[in-house]
Amino acid sequence: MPTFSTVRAALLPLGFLLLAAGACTDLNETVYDEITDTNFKPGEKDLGSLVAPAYRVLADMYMGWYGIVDVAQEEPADVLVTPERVNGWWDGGVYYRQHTHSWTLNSYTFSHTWGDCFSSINDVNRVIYQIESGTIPVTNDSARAGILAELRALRAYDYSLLLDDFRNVSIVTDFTAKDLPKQNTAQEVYDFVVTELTAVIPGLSKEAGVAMYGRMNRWAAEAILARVYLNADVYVGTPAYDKVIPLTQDIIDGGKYALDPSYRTPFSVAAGPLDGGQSHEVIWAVPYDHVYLPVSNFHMKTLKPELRYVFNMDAQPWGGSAGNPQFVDSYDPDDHRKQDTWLMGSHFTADAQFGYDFTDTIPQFRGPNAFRLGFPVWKYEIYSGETGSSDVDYPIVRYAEVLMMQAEALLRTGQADAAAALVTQVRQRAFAATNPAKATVTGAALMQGSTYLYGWYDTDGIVKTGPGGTPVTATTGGAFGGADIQYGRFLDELGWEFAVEGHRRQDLIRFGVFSTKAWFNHAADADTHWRIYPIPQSAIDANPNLKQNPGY
Amino acid sequence: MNRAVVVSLLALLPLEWARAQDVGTVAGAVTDKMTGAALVGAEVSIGAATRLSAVTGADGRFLIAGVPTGETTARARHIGYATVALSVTVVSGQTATADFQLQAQAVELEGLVVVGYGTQRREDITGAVGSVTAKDFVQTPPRDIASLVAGKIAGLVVNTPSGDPAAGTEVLLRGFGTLNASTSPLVLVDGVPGDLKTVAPQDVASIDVLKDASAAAIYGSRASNGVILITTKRQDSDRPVLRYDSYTSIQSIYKMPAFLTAADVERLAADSFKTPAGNTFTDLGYATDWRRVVMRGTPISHNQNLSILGGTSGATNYIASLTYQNDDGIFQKSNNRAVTGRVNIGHSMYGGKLTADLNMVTGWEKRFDGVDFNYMWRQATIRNPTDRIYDAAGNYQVRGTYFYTNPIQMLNTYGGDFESRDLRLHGTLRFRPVDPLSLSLLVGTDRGEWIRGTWRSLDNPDVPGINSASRSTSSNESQVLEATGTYTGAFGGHHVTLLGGYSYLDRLDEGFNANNNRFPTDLFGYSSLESGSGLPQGVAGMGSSKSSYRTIGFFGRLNWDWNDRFLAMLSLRYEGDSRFGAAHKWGVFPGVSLGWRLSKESFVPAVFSDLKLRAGYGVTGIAPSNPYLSLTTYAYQLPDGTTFNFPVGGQWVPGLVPVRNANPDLRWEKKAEYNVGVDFSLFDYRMAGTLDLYRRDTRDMLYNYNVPVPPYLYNSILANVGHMRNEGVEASLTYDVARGTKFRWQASANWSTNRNRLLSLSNDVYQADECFETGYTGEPIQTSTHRVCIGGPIGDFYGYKSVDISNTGEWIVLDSLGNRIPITQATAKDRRVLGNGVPKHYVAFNNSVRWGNLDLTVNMRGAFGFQILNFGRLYYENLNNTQYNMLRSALDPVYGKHVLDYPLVYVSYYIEDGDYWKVDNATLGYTFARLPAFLSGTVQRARIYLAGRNLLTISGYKGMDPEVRTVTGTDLNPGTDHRDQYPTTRVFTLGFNLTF
Repeated sequence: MPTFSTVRAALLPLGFLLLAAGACTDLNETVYDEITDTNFKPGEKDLGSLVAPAYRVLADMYMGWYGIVDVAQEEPADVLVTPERVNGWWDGGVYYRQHTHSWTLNSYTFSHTWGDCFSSINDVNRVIYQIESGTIPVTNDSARAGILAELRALRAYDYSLLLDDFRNVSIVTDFTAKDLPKQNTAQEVYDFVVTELTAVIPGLSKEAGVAMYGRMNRWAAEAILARVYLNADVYVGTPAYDKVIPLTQDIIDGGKYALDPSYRTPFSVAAGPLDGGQSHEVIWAVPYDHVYLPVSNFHMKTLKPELRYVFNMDAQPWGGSAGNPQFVDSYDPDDHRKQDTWLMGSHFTADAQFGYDFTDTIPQFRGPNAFRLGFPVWKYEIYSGETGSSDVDYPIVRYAEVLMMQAEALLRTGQADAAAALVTQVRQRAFAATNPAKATVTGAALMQGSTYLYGWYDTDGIVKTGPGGTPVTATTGGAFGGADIQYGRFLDELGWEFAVEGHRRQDLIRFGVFSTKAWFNHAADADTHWRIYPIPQSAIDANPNLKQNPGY
Repeated sequence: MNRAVVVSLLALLPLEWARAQDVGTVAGAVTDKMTGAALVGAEVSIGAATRLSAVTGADGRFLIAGVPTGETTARARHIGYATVALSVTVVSGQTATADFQLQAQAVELEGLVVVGYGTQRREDITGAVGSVTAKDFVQTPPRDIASLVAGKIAGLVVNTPSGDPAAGTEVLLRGFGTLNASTSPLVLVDGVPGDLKTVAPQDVASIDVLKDASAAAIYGSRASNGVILITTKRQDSDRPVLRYDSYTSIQSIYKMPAFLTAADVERLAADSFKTPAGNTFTDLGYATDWRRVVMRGTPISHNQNLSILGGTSGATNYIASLTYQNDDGIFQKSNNRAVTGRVNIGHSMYGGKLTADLNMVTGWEKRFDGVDFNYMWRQATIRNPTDRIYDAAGNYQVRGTYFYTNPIQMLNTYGGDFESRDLRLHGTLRFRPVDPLSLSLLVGTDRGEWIRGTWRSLDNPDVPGINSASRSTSSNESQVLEATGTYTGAFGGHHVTLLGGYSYLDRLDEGFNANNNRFPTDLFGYSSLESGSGLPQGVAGMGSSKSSYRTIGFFGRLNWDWNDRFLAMLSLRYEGDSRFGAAHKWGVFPGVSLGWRLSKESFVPAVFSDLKLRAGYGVTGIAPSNPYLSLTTYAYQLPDGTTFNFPVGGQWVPGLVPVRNANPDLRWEKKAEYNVGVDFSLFDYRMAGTLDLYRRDTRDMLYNYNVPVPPYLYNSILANVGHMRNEGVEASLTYDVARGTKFRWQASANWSTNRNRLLSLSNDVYQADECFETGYTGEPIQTSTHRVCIGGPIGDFYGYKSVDISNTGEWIVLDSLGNRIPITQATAKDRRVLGNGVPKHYVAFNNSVRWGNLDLTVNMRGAFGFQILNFGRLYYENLNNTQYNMLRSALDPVYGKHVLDYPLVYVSYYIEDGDYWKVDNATLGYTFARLPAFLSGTVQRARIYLAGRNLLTISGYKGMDPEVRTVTGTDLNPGTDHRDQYPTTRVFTLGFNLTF
């Protein structure tokens, strides 16, 4: 048996433990390098930092990897293709599925738009909540009204993108709501966007200079609302072309913007007011910057590896996307926009060691296609010392679109000649140096079909009814040719003016071409459910309230 | 299989029941030779063949009745003391006296197992513990301490998948138990957290691995991946000793893949050979063996270790050692140099009542770190062998091809180095106020830091004309406190050891980095970062970080045995961690195990020297790897450098974004494990073996779930949801083939198998898909390689099953219904499981032979029942891209029919059986019995040896080495043999040990 002293000694460690325990059982975390809810009390000076992320996602969405401009809006359409190359670019078939309209339910090509838009929406809701609840004290009433209007306009813009891509999404405006959001219908989302924009436009800043650069001012909001009205028939089955005209007219009458003399100015490094302010055409842009916002990499996706030496770049481009030869062939030869948009011909270093002689043929989507096949995109300025992140700002809306939206609304409401005057105005700079007379179009011309030779682009470079089929002409009809497209000539004008600006999928759907015509290696498919992207499976998994879009 | 072996051995044994005969009694006392204090709990046993034994009580006395008459040997053993044997003559009906005086030893490791906060005799262990002492270590140059036990412990996988001298081993215990948390075991060096490189391998006395949760539970939320206990050498004699160990090794690439040579390309070009796609080969007119020019001729490595040990018995003892290691890799500039120093001073006072132990370990490691050797290996393999290194003007020959870099230019225009330093200081005070009670307090601090510098010169291949440099550093600091009390007592036949303790760990991590570019000269390297103009141009960068966490535990353990027959262990740890969410700051981790020493029972035949049944259950955890994961946090910049700037009013403003959702329920992954086992020794310990069966269930498994934004702030959340199960069998058997004094041969074998299944990944709140895809081919294929499904195992390859090739050279694959279709028609749903990258069986066979002064060890090991995705063939066995060099086999018909005419695509053709059997290492040594005259009297012992590592691999695998990586961080892509890698090597070593 243990002696008394043993027992007493045995108590020693217990006392020891209790002593230590009292001193050292604190498990609260000391946070040094992150901001938590408890150690951050935002003030008015933090507003910029809180609002910035809501805009910042636009940078990822547009010219970032798998951006809206190329993968989501151009690759399912008829202007741009990303065929397999000698260095790869099959990438698990992702571009092929975009091209052939056979995307899967979780493709990053569109799912990131979902995530980015809702992230922006949540940021907006949070800041609105913080301002309205007084968590962020904003003392100046007009500043408070202005920032709330701007945030609501940005949120409405996010919803306009979700409406265009997915239609049936959840409308969430209350930051404090904790339940999983319910799904809304396309009509509800459309009504929300229209109501919100209409409500906030009078309170938005009319400032067009550097102070509002990259942000939602009155003119940007009006242009976005006009764009939503222009597509109302597609979104909810009720045309609203008449509502496009006064909105666009207000922008024109505002006098803040004008067409730049050169087509390339809005796409130049010096376009934006942060970089020189040479453009007066850009109404709303994503302000890319290789230091502050190093995200834009579409130039890397379209330029070819050896062009780094030709253009003295600081990065080796990856070599994928090129113009669809059928589209490139549709330009008028005197249209300067062709050479302003595409990198054509021979481009070599002085010692002729590196470079390519580009040809306007791509035998087929599946490769390997040589780098010199197909024209890279030249529209966005390429400059010496360019890195993997371009400095060129992306114009979300430019004045030419305002004119063309009004023109289309006029055309579709029986005012073809008034429309033609606006189209002519936009065309003039494209023909000024070559054949100014060609700039003029008539109302009658705009009523005609398309000159785009729709059909299967066969390996020999001839447009046919299918692989090894018979050659098609403009008047072949059905899935082929373009003569039977209503207002097809106007669609062509949109293509030439806005090639690779991320408008084409929307335009093809609005003109009824998206699923009915064949181009390159995309066969016509009467199935119209591809006009809407599926709700990403990951979103449905995370929120059982969401039902998949029809057809998927 | 092994169960069957044991059962049949039992059946075959002759039954030798002890017959009734005249008996007497042996009684006596066991005392400490120096202090004269009674030793409690010492085991006294009689003879070799009897079952008679007793354990001393509180007064140190014992009594054994029923001892057969005649001359016999009594042995007394006690932990921490040398065993003493006495000859006793027993007379019928009388009591013979045997008093033992045991000599204390610092650590007597043979027969002792380190179990965490203490040691136990091997016979008393009731959990699954693998234990290897220095004499059984793998002897060839180790990468780290795990190398010492590669193939030695069933269930502990130690792979060496890289030839990079800076790379360590890959360690995995009992299969994949987690999806997201770390798979690294807890490594304790003399009881204090460390890693496998903390001390030099020469300083290690023993390595013990707590495999099952009953044994590991006392380490709570750090123990789920097993616990590796490293015990360093201590002075074990009075005599001052100086030891000098040295070795030198050379290495070479294990296997060179057969790519087209310059002559091949020249011939193909001359023949105007056209690939099916119409591409031709370009003969540039030169000949360069790119893979040889990036390699060193004969890389030589060496290692020097000097140790001094000494002291006065019972008062002060010391050990100090210094190790220098200099490794050169097979690639030019690739190296690793390390210095490890260790000083340990122990002091004993008041007749052993108070002991103090001061311990310092310091390490320094430095290596060239300027070139990504994995990617350089790719460039050396794909570069056209008819090209030249330098053009006519003496500049690097540059080609504009996509991702195609002159590897010599890489080697010469990139530089940098990495250096790490560690300092660990620990002091332990032990107080034994009365004999059965021992109190111990350990206080320590560990400081580690690394600093890295890299530079790129003007003529670099990536951004020609722009040089750059960077510097980054990281430091960590841990404070450790551990207080334990141990009480040992004996009551009648009962022996108990009671342990209680408190442990405290506080860790702080900090990091800093800066880079700049556009320097006026290349001369500075990274040494003058301010000189570059990238900073004023806004294209330089910097960053810093700081974080901390704290782990606090209370623990207790009871070890009990009754007459050495029935054994039990109960442990409990109550542990808290600051990284857990507010609602779960503390957790309970119980462990229980029971043992029955059947060899103490009369019905077990005496042929069993020892036989023990064990069963245990325990709960361990693994904490989330980073701090702050349970909190809502915002940041101006993500860890990957992404910023959220946007111009506001013409000024760029840094955006503040949410980066994490709050999860107050975040907690440890919880692993509950059952283990049953049997340990046996036969024929006077000539044969010994162990068999273990386990089932481990990981619940509350951490996984990142997609959540909708809104209402969440961020689109994913780390939550404890899933359930994974691992079941397996481990067996090991050791046999002394020959036990002579002149010739000894010990052979041992072990085998382990594991079955892994993911049982669930969803609950009411968080839902995951039935399956998720993982692993990645890289570009240009850009597809996932593996799939993990609920109900299935980790490691399934998932893709198209190729079965044939068309007469136009296109793959024929199986569709979802099993029909043969051209791959052009295959869709995602036609993919299927193509194999699994986790070996089902690991087998090792180790032999140790001594013949006179010669000794030979041969260690062999293998892995079976798994597949490897051979990326080398996937990328280079294809004629499509003649801009890159390719394997000669690209010219061979696929399936013996037709040359492939299809772009790179991931199909089952590139998945091969990975089964292998390796002669992992062999060592031949000679110990000088009689030293040359000039040495005798100074040198006590001398040994020289010759060793080889990775000597021979028997495998059908076509790649370089089938010992591929199983775990890559938290990626679940085992069996992936990447094309970008540092090839494995074969190493020959010549070394000697001198003891003065």
